[in-house]
Amino acid sequence: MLRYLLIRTVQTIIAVFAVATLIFLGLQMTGDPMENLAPQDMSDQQVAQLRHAYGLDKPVYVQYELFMLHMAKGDLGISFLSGEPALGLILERFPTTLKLVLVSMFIAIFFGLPMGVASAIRADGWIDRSLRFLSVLGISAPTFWIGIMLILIFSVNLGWLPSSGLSSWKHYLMPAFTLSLYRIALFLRMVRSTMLDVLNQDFIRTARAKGLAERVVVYKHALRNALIPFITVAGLQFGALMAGAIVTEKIFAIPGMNRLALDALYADDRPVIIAFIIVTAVLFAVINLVVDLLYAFIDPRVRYA
Amino acid sequence: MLKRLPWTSILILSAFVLAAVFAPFLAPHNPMQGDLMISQTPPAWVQGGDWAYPLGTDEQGRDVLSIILYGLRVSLAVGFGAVLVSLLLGTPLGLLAGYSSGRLGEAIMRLADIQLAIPTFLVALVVLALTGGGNIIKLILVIGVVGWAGYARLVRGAVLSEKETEYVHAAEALGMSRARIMFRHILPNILSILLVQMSVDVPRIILLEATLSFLGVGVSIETPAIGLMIKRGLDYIYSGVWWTTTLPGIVLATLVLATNLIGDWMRDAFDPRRKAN
Repeated sequence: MLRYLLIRTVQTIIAVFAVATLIFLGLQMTGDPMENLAPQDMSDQQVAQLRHAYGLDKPVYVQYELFMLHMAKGDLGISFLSGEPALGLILERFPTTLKLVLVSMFIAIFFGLPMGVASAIRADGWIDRSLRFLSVLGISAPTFWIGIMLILIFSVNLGWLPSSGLSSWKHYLMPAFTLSLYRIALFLRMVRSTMLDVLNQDFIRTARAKGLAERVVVYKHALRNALIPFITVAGLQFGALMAGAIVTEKIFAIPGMNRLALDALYADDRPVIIAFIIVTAVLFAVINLVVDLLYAFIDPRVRYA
Repeated sequence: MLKRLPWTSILILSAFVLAAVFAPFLAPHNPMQGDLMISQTPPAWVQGGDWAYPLGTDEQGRDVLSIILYGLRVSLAVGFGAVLVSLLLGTPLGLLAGYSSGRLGEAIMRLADIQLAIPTFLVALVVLALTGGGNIIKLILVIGVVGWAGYARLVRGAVLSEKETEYVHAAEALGMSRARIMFRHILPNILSILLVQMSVDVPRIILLEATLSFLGVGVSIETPAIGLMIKRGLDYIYSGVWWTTTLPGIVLATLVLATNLIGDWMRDAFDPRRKAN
């Protein structure tokens, strides 16, 4: 187990450096950041000075070497805009996004999982049909539009809920629901189809044949097996939300790390963009590791030697 | 058992496609030319509305219905175009990786793994933002290129299982060239899987384009597009102008819903992995 963890950690570090290399190369190809950064009225000499201050006058391979060496020390450069360390800026906003995403994931699992099971045990009944239609509706409505509709209804017309910031539990309701709607629909579809697969298998017939209560068959035997693919998808969605709450954070004016990254993108503030992508890559790697470890708890057949 | 064709969805999608194709004839006004005198006219059925502008006008006095009709062109062109680009890039690479297993095949799949590790939305957003926004062609290319890996992986998996079938062995015994076996024999047999994947991807890409345009890195601001109109409409929802966000969103959601339902039907009908149920 310890050995497995060690190998996975080393793999993760290598992967993060590979991603960093790709970002570095990719950014080299998208052009000179000075074009957007330097004010129009700056003299050529001043531009050259600024370029020198940020190390942008060095040859590309020297820049790469410096970038990698600094990254190994946890230094991802200084924001072009605020002059503060880029990684620090992102990490400072990280908890805000994490809180919102955790609430959204809780809502999504709380509704999606039982609805998927309900749909599967009465396949093609009226509950299944209506839930299935609602779930297609859920994955078809654009997230940004759902957010705006909620603001229109609950803030503008009814005046019940605040539309920006995250200062009380009331502030969480609309953004969390906006983020979770798609996931409720996705989890419902996914749990339904895996439950149907599992319910058709021989060991379920055996369990029924030996007279177990249907409740035990469904929840103890079938659901446990259907949970394994579900955990993978839920883990991936958690990562996707952390790096994909951009639209929601923008609409509801939430000061999370996605909002910061979006502003950095608009302003071509490359160190912050790089820090955001690297934090995301590390997060995805950690989530994958946690998902793999969770398998072992749920499925006793899985052993990591 | 084959489920009944999803007629309602097919009708809705056809109507949207026709509306997009014939937008210049159907649109009552020039979608990009506004008249400030009539700006923010509400939809015709609301008090203060005018049947000359059935769905109302935006803050610059442009006709909402006309923008939606032209906007459908952007949604459909990017949705189908980008998926086609992904397919054309991913399929040959997947065939190659699956049929000629070797260093090259390995390298292709490792590259696909890296690509699939970063969300499409994020890659498209960063590339478009840093290269100064987009236009329809650029959106199709960027989203299409980013999507190659999914198709490559799918095709490779399918090829690996087809490779051991009798008809491939027979073709090999007859001394046919690799290229001929790959494109003439294996490819036709995995077309249904590709078709299913495409039908799942089109609605996803339509939403992706709308989201990118909503964030301001999609089509340029002079283009009539649904995502862009909702972005502009967001600034006016507090002054009671609900129609420039609500109405285009309903059209977009209906379009995506119809394509999703057709995709679901195709998956049930054509995907061999689902026939077991």
